[in-house]
Amino acid sequence: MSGDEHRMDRRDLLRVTAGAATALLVSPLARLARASDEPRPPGQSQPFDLQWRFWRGELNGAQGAAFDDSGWRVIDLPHDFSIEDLPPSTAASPETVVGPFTRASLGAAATGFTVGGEGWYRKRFSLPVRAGSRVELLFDGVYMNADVWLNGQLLATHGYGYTPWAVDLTGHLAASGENVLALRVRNTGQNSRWYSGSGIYRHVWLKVWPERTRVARWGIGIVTRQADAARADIELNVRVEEAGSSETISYRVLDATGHVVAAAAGAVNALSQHAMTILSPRLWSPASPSLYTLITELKRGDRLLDRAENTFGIRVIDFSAETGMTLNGVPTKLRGGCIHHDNGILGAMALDVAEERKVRLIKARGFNAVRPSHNPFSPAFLSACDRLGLLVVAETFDAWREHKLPEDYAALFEGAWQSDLESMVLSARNHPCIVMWSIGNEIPGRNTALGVETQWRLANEVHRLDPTRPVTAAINDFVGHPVRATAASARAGSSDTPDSASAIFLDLVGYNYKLGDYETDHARNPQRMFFGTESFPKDMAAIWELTERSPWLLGDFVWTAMDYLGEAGIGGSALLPEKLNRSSAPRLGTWPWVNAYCGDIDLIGEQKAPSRARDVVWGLSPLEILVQRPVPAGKADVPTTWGWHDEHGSWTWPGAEGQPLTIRLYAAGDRVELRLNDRLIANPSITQMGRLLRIEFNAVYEPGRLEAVAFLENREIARRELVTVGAPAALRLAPESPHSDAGRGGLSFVRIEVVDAKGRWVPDINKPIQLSIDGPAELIALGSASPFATGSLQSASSRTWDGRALAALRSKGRPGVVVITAAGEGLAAGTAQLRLT
Amino acid sequence: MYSRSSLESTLPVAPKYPPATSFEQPIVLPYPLRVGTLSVAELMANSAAWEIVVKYLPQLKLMVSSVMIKPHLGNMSVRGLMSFVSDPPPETLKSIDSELSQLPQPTPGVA
Repeated sequence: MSGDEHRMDRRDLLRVTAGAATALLVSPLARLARASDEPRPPGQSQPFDLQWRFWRGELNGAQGAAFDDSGWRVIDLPHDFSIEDLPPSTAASPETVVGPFTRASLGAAATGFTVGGEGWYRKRFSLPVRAGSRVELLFDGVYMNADVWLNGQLLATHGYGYTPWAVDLTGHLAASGENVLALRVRNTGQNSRWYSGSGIYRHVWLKVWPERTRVARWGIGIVTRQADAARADIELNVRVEEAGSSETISYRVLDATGHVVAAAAGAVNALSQHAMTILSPRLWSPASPSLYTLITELKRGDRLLDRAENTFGIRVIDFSAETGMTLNGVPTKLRGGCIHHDNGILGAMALDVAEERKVRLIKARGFNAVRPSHNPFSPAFLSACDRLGLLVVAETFDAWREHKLPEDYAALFEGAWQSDLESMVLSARNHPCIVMWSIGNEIPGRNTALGVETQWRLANEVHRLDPTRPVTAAINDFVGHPVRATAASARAGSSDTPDSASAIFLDLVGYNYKLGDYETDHARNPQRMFFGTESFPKDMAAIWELTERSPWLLGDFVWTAMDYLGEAGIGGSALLPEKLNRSSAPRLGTWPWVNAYCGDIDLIGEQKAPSRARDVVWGLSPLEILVQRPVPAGKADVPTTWGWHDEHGSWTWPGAEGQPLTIRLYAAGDRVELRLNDRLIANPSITQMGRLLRIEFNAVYEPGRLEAVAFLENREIARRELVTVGAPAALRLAPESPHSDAGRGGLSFVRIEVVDAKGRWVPDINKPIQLSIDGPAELIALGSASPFATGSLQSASSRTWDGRALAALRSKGRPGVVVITAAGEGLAAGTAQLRLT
Repeated sequence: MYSRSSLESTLPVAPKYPPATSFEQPIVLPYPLRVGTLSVAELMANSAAWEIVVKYLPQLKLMVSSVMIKPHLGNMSVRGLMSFVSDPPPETLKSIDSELSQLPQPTPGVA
């Protein structure tokens, strides 16, 4: 079947369903809220993000249909009210509130001195009532403790802030067709060890079916049973709800060009399994993330009852204690980074473009895997990982029954773990990027009898829901006593094999910060398959030296690939008295730190010092030069436990003339030379870190040119230079893409840099800037990578940090040209254009 | 375009992770009373053992009282907890283990 036939088929669908099977959103507000009013096929997700009203604070009676919300703000989702500016402080010291940050935050350093609280959302919508139909709202994620009312009636509550959940509106819609939806969120107490965001921070979808019969929500599982370049055997597991005897179901698999490459059809059962074979498949991998689409249609005669589109990839992932992980038969190490879910200056808002940008940034730095910590991420993020090729360890919980914080997930666990686990696994199981499920991170109480039982219950439930992927958990430090599982409880094939209590029911074991145990544990437990679920950046060279020579070691995930809000100040370094002689500085974590600052990539997407060293470790670069920020006499720059020296790719240090500076070269060769203004610098201190050489030079600073050359066996392999740049002269704006979608989902990132008269970036400059925008886009975020609370992240006024800032502009929903201008005192203004189409 | 024929091949085959039948507590195997084989929480619960540990590492008394650390003591070893300050000398751990070995040893059984 050709692509044209596929398009014909879509038109047929619209004709069949128009007017009868599909509800239209017909109110004036709803027309604004939809890009198109064309009928949607039954069961297709309709965006439900636009034209909500929002109130931050506690209210009584706001769930009522007649409640007057005319004074509330109109907002479009995704929305995060914790990233919005707080009211100015009325306290004596005005610095206690800075933009969205406050020194009085209950979460304090953990949440980056942000504030949660209660928030209310209301939305009016029109939906004609069709007898016998089914209507459902799907929330991709709401943080947290959400209650939903329709026309004043409480329909649903959902506690966990990271799992998708649905509300059945059937039977509760107003006969008039005019409805009011109200939603309350309560992000209260100490419930998170990192920045969570607050509110409806992911998408909402409306789904309508003409009858009760449908393919169950997340009811299609697509599994690659076996595959190579010649052929792939695919298995479909499908669940249909309220089916009779007269329905039929059909499946078509489309390749990336829209051509049908496989098809099947059959009678409908509540649970059914189908096999399909695809010849000459394009296998999915990080290097070649080829995707297919399964189209499922449920019919009674010619009447279309449901239609589902599921994207999937064809790949086989296997694990072995002897040979590690293979992907389509190819040994593959997990070059991983842990991440939290916030998008930096956007807060937790999970706009698709922002989620994809994060994946793109991480992949560009050589990572092939991420561990979204410690909770399920958005569908948009996972889809981006599918499209761009980034492997994912999908994690559920940061706590089970025992609390880490007084109001964390442990308060919900007993009543919610099973449904949360189910929604995570079923909703995400078709993403080829997901290689394993993690049932928890550093879980308190995991070594007790109840903890071990819970480990089994969670792992076994995952195996029941998805028997195609292994289960892991991130284990820190003490792994429990040696135990042996009984035959009834054991993982397949492991009943005779002793292991430690924390690991006994895990298929793969995640080690947090246990590099020193890797080899001894492997010798002691050769059957155990494990990898680093968290590691310190400073250990990267040793970790990868060991990982690459140890087939049994699956890989490593550094904490973290990218900076994030919260866990303020765990990275970076501190100036301590030289004579203190500490190997690491204590955790900072005090106001005004708001950013963890332990990432390879900073909060706005720029590469940091540890990433430059990693480039050498991973072979992306043979040589990097970094220069230690000038250190006052008598002090030493001491990295924190998760930190790194305060070093930069810069030879512009005004004011440091005549002072000794430390220059560090990271090289893949066996010898380097360093010249300052053509004079050779001698007497370096050399540290061999696995295959990585770290060479430290001391030189008296003078402006000019610092040039390094790396050699391997007397052959030059790389040459790098740093040049002193001039004084700040102008602002330069650079959109990351010149085009953007004109719809409300369109989002554009614009990099802002301070440059000298020759157009060279001037580092280390913190200057106020003012942004103005002309055209059909609005500024939704402006800020820098500063780890400190410096001001609003949504105002048009901000500051550069290290000579840079980033703006995020959201399309207003219509095409046109957007002109952005940035001005700063003493700097020539910068402008840029975006075209929204 | 597609086929259901059963081609003979050696394709990479996806592993399966079937659920187990039912839960039964694992059997705990013998282990000695040592700083590396018990969590800090377990050592604290054994007053004679804890007395030995803090005799050599008195800083631990203060560390275990931290509200931040308390939830994690069941997952922490002495060495792991001490590493937040500085790694304890191996000879200190050996001395502690030597004294712990003189105490009644744990009884294996159900976890």
